[in-house]
Amino acid sequence: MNTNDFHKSTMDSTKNPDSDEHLSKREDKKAMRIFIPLIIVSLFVGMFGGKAVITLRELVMADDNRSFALLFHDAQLFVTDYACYLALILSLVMANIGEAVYRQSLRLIRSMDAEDEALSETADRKLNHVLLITSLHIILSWLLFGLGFYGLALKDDFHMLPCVLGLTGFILSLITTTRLQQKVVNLVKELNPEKRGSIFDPKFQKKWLDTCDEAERLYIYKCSYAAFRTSQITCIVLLVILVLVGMEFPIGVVPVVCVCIIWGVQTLVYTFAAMQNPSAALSQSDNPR
Amino acid sequence: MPLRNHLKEFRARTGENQQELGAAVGASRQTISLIERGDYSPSITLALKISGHFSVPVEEIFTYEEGGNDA
Repeated sequence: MNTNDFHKSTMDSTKNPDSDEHLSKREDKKAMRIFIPLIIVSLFVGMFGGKAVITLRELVMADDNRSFALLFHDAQLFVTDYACYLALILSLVMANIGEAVYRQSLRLIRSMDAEDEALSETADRKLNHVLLITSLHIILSWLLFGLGFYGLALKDDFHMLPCVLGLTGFILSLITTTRLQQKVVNLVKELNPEKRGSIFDPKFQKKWLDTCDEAERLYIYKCSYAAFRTSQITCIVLLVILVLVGMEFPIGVVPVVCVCIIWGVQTLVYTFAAMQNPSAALSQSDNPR
Repeated sequence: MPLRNHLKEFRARTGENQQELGAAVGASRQTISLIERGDYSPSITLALKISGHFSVPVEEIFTYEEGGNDA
């Protein structure tokens, strides 16, 4: 291509409405039509949120002359008072729900033959429900454990009963969730003899992934990306809420710092993984069996 | 999905179930089921392993049809 040809093709590309440059600009313009109003709406939501907090404070203070900080302290005491008892109830209720769903899927699996795809899919879905229940159980038991013991620390005198009940509930939750996860993993291994790994092994996730085929890996990666995107949005929304709440409630800086740490770790890990040499990232060792 | 396949017919000919075929080609029962239903397009490696297992050219099992949507 000589110089004239180059200029001609460049000019053609700028004039041609279907050129990549034009398409890219058109895409940007289209996205801007949503992005700018979204920023303006977010600005107003922030302003009104702040204003609502201030108005609420004035209303409460005018009502019985109590400060927001005092109300917040009372609310914390109320929630944390019951957290220890709730931990025990949660451990019993969630363990029974998980066990019931597990038994349903076990019955289905025992009754189906190797070619029954519909039943096999229902059983797989039910096993995923068991894992979802155990995950929620673990998260909620950690939450109640944290709330309960924070509440106990707020009190001047030591209360033995809630402390023992809370700790019992927490330990019960850990034992029942681990046992149920082990049963699910063993059942999946029974259905898929190629699967390897024990949940008591610290390298369980790696060993399990090593025995996953290409479709299973693709599915895991898609699910992980969905989790990543949702967590990014959750971190931003949480930060806005925490900043607004922090204006009036004595929540301290720890919540904001914690959310930023989670956001930062996620973003950095993702970015560093993306910056890896593609051939190293998709190396043979990471390829499916 | 533009990739059509006759995997179920080939599997029926050998009398294997999905689990057995999966074990022979290094895939899970679920993946074989997804391929048969046309919900997953296998990689070239897996398609070649499957065709090798049945000792036929890959085109006999998998055919690409223009104009369809990608999986």
